[in-house]
Amino acid sequence: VSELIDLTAAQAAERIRAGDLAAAELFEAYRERATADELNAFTWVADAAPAPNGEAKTPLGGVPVAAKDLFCTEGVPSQAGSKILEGYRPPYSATVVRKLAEAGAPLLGKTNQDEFAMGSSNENSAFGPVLNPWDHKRVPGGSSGGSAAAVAAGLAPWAIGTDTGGSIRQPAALCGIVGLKPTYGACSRYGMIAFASSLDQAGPFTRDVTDAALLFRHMVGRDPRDSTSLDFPGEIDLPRAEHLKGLRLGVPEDLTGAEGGIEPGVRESFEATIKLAERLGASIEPCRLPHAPQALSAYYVIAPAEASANLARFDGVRYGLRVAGDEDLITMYSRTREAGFGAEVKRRIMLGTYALSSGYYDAYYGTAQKVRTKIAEDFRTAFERFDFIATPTSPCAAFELGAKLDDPLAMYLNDFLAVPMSLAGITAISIPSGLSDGLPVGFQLAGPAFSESRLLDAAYALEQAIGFDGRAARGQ
Amino acid sequence: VPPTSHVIDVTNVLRADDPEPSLPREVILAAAPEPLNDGFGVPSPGAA
Repeated sequence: VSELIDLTAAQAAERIRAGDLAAAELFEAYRERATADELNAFTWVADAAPAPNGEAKTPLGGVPVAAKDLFCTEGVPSQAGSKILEGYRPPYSATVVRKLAEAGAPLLGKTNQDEFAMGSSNENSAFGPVLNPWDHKRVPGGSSGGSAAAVAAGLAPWAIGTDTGGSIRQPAALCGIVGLKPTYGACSRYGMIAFASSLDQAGPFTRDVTDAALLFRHMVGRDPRDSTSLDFPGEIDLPRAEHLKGLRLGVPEDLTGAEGGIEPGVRESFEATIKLAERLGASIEPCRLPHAPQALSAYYVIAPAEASANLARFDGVRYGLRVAGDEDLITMYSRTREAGFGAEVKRRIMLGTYALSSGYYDAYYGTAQKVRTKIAEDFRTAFERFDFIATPTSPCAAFELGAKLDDPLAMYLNDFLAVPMSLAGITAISIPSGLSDGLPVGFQLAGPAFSESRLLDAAYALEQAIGFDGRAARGQ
Repeated sequence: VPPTSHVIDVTNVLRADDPEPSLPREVILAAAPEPLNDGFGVPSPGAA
């Protein structure tokens, strides 16, 4: 079995397609590992491998995928990590989940997450925290902490998650794996339980960049059920670049300067990776993103505002929890929401409701959206001179459970380097760049909208040169 | 400075006005905590 777990998803798919491995055998190997999960990464695991159905002829070969709890999956629990959706088994599947199943990646299980994707440590889950496979006393990052931990620990060959303000990239960084946040609109949001609709994007968690390209290739495309989804321009090629000759990388001093609060170990790994990029032929220059330091402030108006509207639907009427009684309607609503939502979700609903309240809309939401315009302009200007922007993914490596729970602002700062790209709607990838005191560090590359193929190619060349070894997290 | 309304350039996303079947009523109601008379049951707004 450990031999099977050693294979990347792309290698496993190739073996199955060549007839050297049965899809059901691989599924069962991962199903056993996921069932024995000691990290609390899974909220549900499939009972059995799907009946054989020509997987060897599919592009993904029957290699199973784990999906963050917030992806609706037909007949399978989907609670977005919240008590308010207790017992909910949706009557339909998210488009991304359906597309992956059609391409030959059946559902292995659902993964733990921060409630409604609000958090950077996976400690805001109704299912309890997820443990980091590199050190069980530490967090895996969030909000897609279960997906990241499951892939890093070899409990799933690959997984999908969502990124609203760093929720793919930051946990990928803290768990030592690859996480891609696609361009806004690249993947359909249909069937994703919404947090902030103008920011939410689905993306892959994988062991390496090749797997990320392969999985992402089968997630994209316009969906009539999501009017913000778009046809992905061009093909998503499997990466093969061996060098970075001619590539211009910008390092934004506005984010990587003192204000970012970057830990020494993270900075060291980042600078070593930049030198490596230079050796691979890239030219490196400082660049400016003057409004990017304001991204976090704008984000914490925009995202809670949208969340307060999206989460109004959880009212104890159509699905999930109802705190019953013979009281009137309004009392039923408030008792249900009081019992069903966790503290961080309540905090953001209150922030967002206030920001959208009559007379304050322009002052808060309107102003934040103007800041967003300036940040998107900053990136557009930077991409006239540079192919990609490079930063560390997160200012810190995995921190101890409970360390930032009492300080929401310290928790929010985890996403200081990830949120600007989210507000601009552009794509960014995190790849492991090394270890700091035995904990993984992530390196982030961000590119213009729909530059994923080129971005994956550059990340691949760097990955080959870095040679990160993630086996320790899989117990190998 | 204009406020951002959408981060990617998209204009007028329209489709043909062709009716399509929805999920059957009983499938939707199966998820409701208290279905009532083929609908969603709610306490009376005026009670209490």
